[in-house]
Amino acid sequence: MDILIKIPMILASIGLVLATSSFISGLQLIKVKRSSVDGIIHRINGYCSVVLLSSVAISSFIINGIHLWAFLGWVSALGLISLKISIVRRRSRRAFKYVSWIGASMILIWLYVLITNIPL
Amino acid sequence: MGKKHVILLILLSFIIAAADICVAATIRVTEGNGNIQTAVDRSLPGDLILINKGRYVENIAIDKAIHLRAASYDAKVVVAAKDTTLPVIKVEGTIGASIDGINTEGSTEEAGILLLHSSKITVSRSSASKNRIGIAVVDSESNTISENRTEFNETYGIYLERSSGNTVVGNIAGQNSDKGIFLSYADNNDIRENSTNHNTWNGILLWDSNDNNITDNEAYRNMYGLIESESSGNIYEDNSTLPNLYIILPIIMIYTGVIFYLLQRLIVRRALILLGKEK
Repeated sequence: MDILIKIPMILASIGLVLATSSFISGLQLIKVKRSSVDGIIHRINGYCSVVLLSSVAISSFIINGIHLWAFLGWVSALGLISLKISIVRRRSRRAFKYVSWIGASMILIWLYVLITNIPL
Repeated sequence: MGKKHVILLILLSFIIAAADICVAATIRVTEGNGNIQTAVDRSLPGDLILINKGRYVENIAIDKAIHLRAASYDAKVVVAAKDTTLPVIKVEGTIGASIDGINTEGSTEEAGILLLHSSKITVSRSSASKNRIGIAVVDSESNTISENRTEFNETYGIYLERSSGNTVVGNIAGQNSDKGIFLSYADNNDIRENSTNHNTWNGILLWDSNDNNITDNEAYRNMYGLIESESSGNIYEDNSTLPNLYIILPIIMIYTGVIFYLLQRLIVRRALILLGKEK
C-alpha cells in the first residue's frame, strides 16, 4: 500500500485517541474544580491534537491538492480549536458551560477525518 | 536457394503485406446513423470500426478479427443492452480482435463483454457496469484485459472460466455485489496491478485454478481480500489487503482513547507524586 495513503489514517487514529482522552479529562476538570492531573492531561492532549490535525491537513494538501471546500473544512476545524482555547483562557463562567460541547465536536471532527482517510 | 529466389521471396512478402494494408478499412459509426452491429457485419478481418460519442442500444456479436474503438478517449461511447438476457458485446470463436474505450451496461443476465472460445483478444480502457458480470472470459486463451473499469455488477467484475494464459492488468474491479475478480478452473493466468476494492464478498477468488500469478493487486475493504480454494501452485507477490475497517476502526480508537486516559492519569499522578507536587 502506498505509504502516503497510510500515514493520514494512522495520524487520524492517534488524533481520535487523543481527542477522546482530552474530552474525558476536560469533563473531569469541569466536575472537579482543582485537578492538576486532569489539567496536565488535557493540555498535553490538546497541544498534540492541534499538531496532528495540522499534519493531517498538510498531508491532505500534498496528496489531494488544495480544494476550496477541503481548505474551508480544515480552517474551520482549526478555528474551532482556537475558539476553545480562547474561551478557556478567558475563564468566563458563562462560556465554560459550552466548552464541553466544543470538546465533543472535536471528537466528531476527528471521527470524520479518520473515516475519510481510511483508504478505499 | 539462389539470389533470384531470395529477391522473389522478398518481393512476394511485400506484395502480401501491401495487399493486407489495402484490405484494412476504417468504418465510422455515429449515433442515430446506423448501428454498430451493421458496421461489424459489413467489416472484414483487420478493419477498424471507430464509434463516435453517443449511446447505442443494441447487442453486438463479433466473430472476426476486427477492432472496435471509441473515436476518441474523451468521447463517451455507451453501449446498452437491447436484450438484457444477452451479453452487450460477445466475441465468439475469434482470434486477434480488440475492444477499446467502449462502455457497456445493462445486461442483467449476462456479461457486459463476453469472450467465448476466443484468443489474442484485447479489451482495454473500456467499462462494464451494471451487468450481471462485467467482463467474462470463457474457454478462451491468451487474451489481454487491461485498464478497464468493471464496477456495480450484480456478481463479478472480471470472471475467467476454463481459460488460460490470459493477462488481466491494471483494471478496477470494485463495488460489485459479489467478487472483484473470480478465476474458476482457470490456469496460468497473470493477474497484475488490479484494484479490487469494496466488493461485497471477495476481492480476488481462485476456485480450482492453478499456477496463476497474482501480483501487485489491491483488495481493500472487501469481506475477504484474497481467497484460494482447491487450487495449487499460484504465486502471490506484493498484494495489499485491508479488511472492512471503516466501521470498526473509529469505535476501537474511541475505546483506546478511554484506556489511554486512564493510563495517562496513572502516569501523570505517579510523576507528580515523585516530583512532590501531589500527595
